[in-house]
Amino acid sequence: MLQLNRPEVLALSPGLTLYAFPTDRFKSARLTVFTVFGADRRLSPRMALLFHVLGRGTERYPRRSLLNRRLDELYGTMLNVNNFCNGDVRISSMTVEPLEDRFLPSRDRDIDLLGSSIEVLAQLMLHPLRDPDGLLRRDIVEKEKKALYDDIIDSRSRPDSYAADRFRALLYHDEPCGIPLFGDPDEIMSVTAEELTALWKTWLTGMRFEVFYIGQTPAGTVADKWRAAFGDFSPCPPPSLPTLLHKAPADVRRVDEERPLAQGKLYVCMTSDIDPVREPETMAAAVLMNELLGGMPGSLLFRHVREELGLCYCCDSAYDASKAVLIVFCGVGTENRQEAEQAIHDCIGRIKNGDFTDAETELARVSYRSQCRRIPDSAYAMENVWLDRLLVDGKGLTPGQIADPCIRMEQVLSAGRGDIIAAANRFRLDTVYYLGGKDGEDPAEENGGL
Amino acid sequence: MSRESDRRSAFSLHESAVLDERYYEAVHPSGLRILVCPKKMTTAYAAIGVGYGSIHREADEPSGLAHFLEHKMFERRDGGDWDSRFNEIGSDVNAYTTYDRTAYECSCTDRFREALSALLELAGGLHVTKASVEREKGIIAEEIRMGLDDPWERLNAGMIRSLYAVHPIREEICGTEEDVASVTPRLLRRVFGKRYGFDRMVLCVSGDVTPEAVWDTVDGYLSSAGLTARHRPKGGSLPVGDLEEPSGVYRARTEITMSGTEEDDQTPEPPAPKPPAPKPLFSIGVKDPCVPTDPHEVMRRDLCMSVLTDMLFSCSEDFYNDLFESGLVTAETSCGSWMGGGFSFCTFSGESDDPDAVYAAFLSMTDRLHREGLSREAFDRCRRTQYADYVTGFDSTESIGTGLLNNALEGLGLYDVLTASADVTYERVSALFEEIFRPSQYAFVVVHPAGI
Repeated sequence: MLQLNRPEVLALSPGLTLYAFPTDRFKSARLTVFTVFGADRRLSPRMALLFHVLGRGTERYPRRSLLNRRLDELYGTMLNVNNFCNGDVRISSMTVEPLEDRFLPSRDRDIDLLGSSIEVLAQLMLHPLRDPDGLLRRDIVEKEKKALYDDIIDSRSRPDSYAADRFRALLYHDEPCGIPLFGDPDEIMSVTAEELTALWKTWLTGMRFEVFYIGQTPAGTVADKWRAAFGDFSPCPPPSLPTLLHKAPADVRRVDEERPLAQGKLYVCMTSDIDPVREPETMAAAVLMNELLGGMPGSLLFRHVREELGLCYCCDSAYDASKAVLIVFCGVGTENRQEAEQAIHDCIGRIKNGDFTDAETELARVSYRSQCRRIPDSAYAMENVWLDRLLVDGKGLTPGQIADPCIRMEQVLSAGRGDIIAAANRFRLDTVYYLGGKDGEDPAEENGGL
Repeated sequence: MSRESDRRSAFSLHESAVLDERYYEAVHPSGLRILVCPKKMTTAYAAIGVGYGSIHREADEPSGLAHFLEHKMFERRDGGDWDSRFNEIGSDVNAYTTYDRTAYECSCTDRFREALSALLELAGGLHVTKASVEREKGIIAEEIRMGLDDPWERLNAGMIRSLYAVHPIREEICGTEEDVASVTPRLLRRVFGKRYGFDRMVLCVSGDVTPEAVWDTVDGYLSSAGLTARHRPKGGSLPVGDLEEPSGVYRARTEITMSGTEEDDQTPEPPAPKPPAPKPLFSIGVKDPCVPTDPHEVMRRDLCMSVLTDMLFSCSEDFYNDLFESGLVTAETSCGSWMGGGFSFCTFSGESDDPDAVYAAFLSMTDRLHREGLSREAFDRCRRTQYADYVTGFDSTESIGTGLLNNALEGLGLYDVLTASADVTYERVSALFEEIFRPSQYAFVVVHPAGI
C-alpha cells in the first residue's frame, strides 16, 4: 500500500488554513502561500503583474537590491514566485525556502531563519511600496509592465515555449485554461496603477489562499511565526469554480506553421469525455494508459518512434485528467514529420486494439508506483500532490479536510488490461499542430570582429 | 575475521558534524572506487562515472564521440535496450556526457540491488551493431538540432568559442552532424576499450542502503561476469593534453544573427500572435588564464571565482540593479562561473535593446572597482549564499550522489568544500579580481534572435 504523511491542519485565521508536513528529510524548509482563482482573460495577466510589482520592494526593504540582500543575509533563503494552471484554475504562489536553523554555522545558530523568511513574505504581501496617495507605486507598475511585456516577447522567441503556448491556445480556444498565463502583451501595457491597487486589495480580502509548510518545525510553532508576521490577515475566499471538460471540435484541427528552425515541434492531442469526478476508475485507467503510451521511460512511444524508427530524440505523452486530454509531443525534423505522426497514431492504435502485453502493463504499473513512492523525497512534489487533491477533491468538504492522494494512486495501480483498452477507446483525435523547420538547416550566422 | 568485518574494514568513513552527514569509501579489487552515503530517503540513487568527456578527443577522432558512446552503452548483448530492463525493475535510468566526464545513473524506490547490478552491467560492456549505430545517428542529429534553434544556447556556445582559441571546449559536447555521421562500431569499440573499465570508474550510491550491501552487489556482479582480475584504480578525470591556449580571449566581440521568419498557416484557425522582434541577447565573459592542476587548488579557485561572480553580477548587487532600473536589461539575466579540465571563466548574460551600453557599464564598473576595491559586505553575503547552496545539495539522494561523483573524479572528497571555503577570503577574492578582470580577458557576444 502506498502511504504519504498526512498534513497537520491548523487554522491560521478564519479564512486561512495551514497544511504542515513535519519531516526531517531535508536541510531546508519550504513554506508556500498559494492563491487560487479562476482563469480569466482580464484577471490572469493582472495577477501575474501584481506578483511582479510586489516583488520589487516593500516598506522595510524599499529597493529590490535591499530585499535580495536581506534574503542573502538569511543564508540565501530562496524566494520564488510562480504562476501555473491546474485545469481551469490559476494559481499564483510565493515560496520561501530557508535552511533549517540547525545546519547554520555555530556562530549564527541564533538566527530564526523561518520566522525571518515569513516576515519577508508578509512584507511582500501586506506592505508593498506605495505612492503617498496609497496607490502601488506608479513608476514600479510602469517598469514591471514593461518587464512582463519583455518576458512574454522573450518566451515567444524560443521555439519550445512558443510552440507549447501556441498549441495550448489552438487546443483550448476560449476555455479558461487556454488563456495565456501572462496574457497578451498589449493587455499588460494597458493596466493602470489604480486597477492594480484595487486588485491587490481584493486579492488580500476576497481570494482563496492555502498555506503549505514542509520542514522540521512543529506546526504550532510555524503558525505562531506566521501570526507574528501576518497579524490577523484573514482572507474571505469565494466559492470554488469547477474545471469543465474540454470539448473536442467536430473535425480534427490541423495547423502547420513553417519557421526557419533546425527542428520541428509536433503536438498530437487526443480528447476523451472521461469525467474525473464521476468516473474515477476510468480516469485512473487513463492515467495508466498514458504511462504505457508515453509516460514511462521505456514507453511504447519511446521504443517505437525513437529507438526502433530513429525519428527523434524526444517523444513522450502527458494526460491532463482535469480536462481529459492526452497530449503527445515529439521534436522532429520536417523530413520525418509525417512518419513520426503516423508512428504516434500506430502506438495509440495498439493500445486501443489491445495489442500490448501483460508484461508491458506491469511495466507501466511499476513505473507509476515508483513515481508515487518518490513523492516524500521532494518537498516540491509533496506540496504539488496535496494541493492537487485539495483543488480536485476539496469541493464540498469543510475547510481543512483534504482527501488522501494515495486513494487515487491505488486506483491507478489496480486498473487492468481491459480497463486500459476501454479508457483508450474513449479518446479521439482532436488537434495536430506542427511548428516546422526547413530541412534541418542551421538557422544562424556567426560573425566575429577583431 | 568474518566476511562481514572484511567488507566493513574495506571502507573508510568520512564525516561532517556540521552537516550531520557521513559517507563511506572503499576500493574494490577490480579497481572500482566505491562511495556510499547512507540516507533515510525512499529513493536510492547510484551513479557510475568515468573521467572521459568531450574535451578528451584525440586528433583522429570525430567530435561528439564520448557522447555517441554514452548513447550506445544502452544497447544490450541480446539486442535489447537497457531502458526496458530498468523499467522492469521500476528504476529510472539516465546518462550524461559533459566536457570532462561521462556518467550513468539510476534511481529507484525498490529492488535497488537489481538496479545496481544492471547499472554495473550497462557500464561494463559495449554491444553495438552497424545497424544500431546508423540508427543512433538520426537520434543524435535530432538532439543536436534541438539546441540550434534556442538563442540562449547559441549565446553560450558563441561565448565559449570567443573565449577559447584551441581548447577542445570550443566543440559542442554532441559534436557536429557531419562528425557524428562518420562514427563506426569499430571506432566505438576502440574508444570504449581505451577509456572505460572499472578501474577507471567511480561508483557513488546514496539512499537507504549500507556500504556492505553495495559492496556485496558489486562483488557479486563482477564475479558472475568473470571480472575478477585485480587492478589498481587509474585515477579520475583524464588530462586534456598539451594545449597552446593563449591567456587572452580568442575573439573580443562576436555577433550571431539567427534567420528571419516565414509563415504559412494552412487552416483558418486563429492567427498566431505577431509580437515585435525579440531583444538581442548579450553575454560578457571573463577568461581565467591560470587554471591550477592540483585539485584542491582548483576547488579553492573555483569557490573564489564563484563568490566573485556573485559579488559583481548577482541580483543583490548594484551593477545589475542599476542596469535594470535604467531599463538596459530585463529580469532575464544570469551569472555563473565554470572551471574544469584546463578551462575557467565566468559570464554575465541577459537581454538588452542596447547590449553595447551594458558592456560599457560593465567596463565602467570594473574600472571603478579596480580603483575603490570590492565591497566587504557583498563578500560576506555571497559567502552565506554559497554555504547555503552547498548545504541544500544534501536535500536529495541524487544531488548527494552527483556531488560525490563530481568530487571523486577530481580527486576530492565531498566535504572538502567546507575546508576549502575557509580559504575563500576577501583578500583572495580581491586578488583574483585584480588578476583576471582585465580587457584582454573579456569577450562580448551578441545574439540577434529571429523571433518566431
